[in-house]
Amino acid sequence: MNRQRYLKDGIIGERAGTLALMGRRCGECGKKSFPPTELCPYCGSDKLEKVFLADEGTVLAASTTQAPVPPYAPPFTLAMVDMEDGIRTIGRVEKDEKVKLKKGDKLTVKFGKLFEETEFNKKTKSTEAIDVIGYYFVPKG
Amino acid sequence: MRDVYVLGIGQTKFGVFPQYTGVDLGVMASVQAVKDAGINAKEIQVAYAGYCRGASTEGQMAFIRLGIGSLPIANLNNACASGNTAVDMLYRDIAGGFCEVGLAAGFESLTQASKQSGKGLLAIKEDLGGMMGLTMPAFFSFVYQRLMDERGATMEDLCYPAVKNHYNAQFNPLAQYNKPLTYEEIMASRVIVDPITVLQCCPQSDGGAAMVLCSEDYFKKHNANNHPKIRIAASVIHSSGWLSAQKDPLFSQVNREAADRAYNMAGIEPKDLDFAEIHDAFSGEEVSAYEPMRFCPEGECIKYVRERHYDLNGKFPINTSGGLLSLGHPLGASGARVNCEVVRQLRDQAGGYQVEGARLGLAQMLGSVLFGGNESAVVCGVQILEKVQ
Repeated sequence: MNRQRYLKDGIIGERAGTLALMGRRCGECGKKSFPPTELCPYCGSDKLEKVFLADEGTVLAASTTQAPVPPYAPPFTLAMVDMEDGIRTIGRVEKDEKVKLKKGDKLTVKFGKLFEETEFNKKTKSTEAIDVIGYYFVPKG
Repeated sequence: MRDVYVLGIGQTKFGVFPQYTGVDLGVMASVQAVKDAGINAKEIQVAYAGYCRGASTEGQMAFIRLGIGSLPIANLNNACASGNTAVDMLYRDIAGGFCEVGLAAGFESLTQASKQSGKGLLAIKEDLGGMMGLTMPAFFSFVYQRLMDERGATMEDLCYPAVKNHYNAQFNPLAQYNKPLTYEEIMASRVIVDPITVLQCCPQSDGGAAMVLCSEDYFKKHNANNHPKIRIAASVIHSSGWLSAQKDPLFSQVNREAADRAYNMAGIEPKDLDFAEIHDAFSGEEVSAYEPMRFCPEGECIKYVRERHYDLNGKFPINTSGGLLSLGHPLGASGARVNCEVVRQLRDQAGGYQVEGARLGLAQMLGSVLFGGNESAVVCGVQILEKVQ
């Protein structure tokens, strides 16, 4: 099996044995934010604690990109998604090509390989493959 | 704060020029601007360069070819607003009394840049959105959908700027494309991010633009070419913040805040403006700017589109030059270029696309999209220029 890394450190954590999106809750103003920041983006406090986000969201808008965006090959779908707690995020949506997403559609968060990258290992003097693990959405149901 | 005036402008033709570097294009525009100012380049006391995709110190590389050196020079990367940022920095220096005359240039060769980065759409790799494949057209496709859902926009409405701006460009010899396009031609072109087709996108191009700005005293003493007196009535660089992330992409908060700061600084109402030259990287994006920038009442952008309010002969012409859609968008150059366009209109030098009696014009650029907290267009540069009687 290939070595794995997360798409970005600190956005995904383990909750009761399964992966979940991880944001921050401010100990002073109480607001939640995602992705994590170093100081509270609302009030500037450094009293931030890790908090897991719900694994459901609602589509605000979605579209399919038909041109290459390395490392992604077209077509692929991105959506702007409203999560619980007033967090608006974006993410890839894995779905049947025939399914047209529209505002209000419900999505579920999943985790898995988004793409593969290679890295030169100086010790073994060989190139090794790394699976980049991130989050994506699928239509709920 | 002192008043700041435009003494000279310079602009290359925009297009695809594989024989030139960004620096070459910056030199050409700067030489023109200095000549148009009617001064010796050695008079320049401070210089700024805006570009996005080049090496370090390209400003110095360009300006030394005009004999400009041994003075403060800085290079600015602020996405599509890099050129506005160069103008803004120079504006501050003169307004604050730090110098009397200076040069601000924007330039870019995306032809050279794409030789290095290869084919495909550009994503900001350091940003979480970019890591997931979010690009400018993908972000603006969300804006298109919001305009359809909330404003009842049709694709014909959202293609209005592309049709309008390509019509205007036939009168602009500096534009990359000079041919009018129909809605049907635009929709029949290749899809980039649905429903945005390639003819709703600005081309990735090469070009340079530059301005010589000065104090009132300096203008009085050195205006050898007898240019009309054009004052920078407002200059604003504004960035979106975290709260923009929770706002709706339907309504660009950074456009609203930057425009309001500029109107306030100039002491004008939006209705006082005679025309505007704004960021139209995607046809529907221009439509999305009308409400936040107060070019129409909130909720009425599509009504105004259908009245063809922003035509060359309309009540409030927008992108009379042909805009990014027809000129192309050499990132660092465009912010300086929109300022040159406004000056050309105010000097009555716009030829076939002249707005009759133009006195007050606005130049705007909107740049970058970040997901890591902003999830919106990130930077907006606005200048308002006024012909002083």
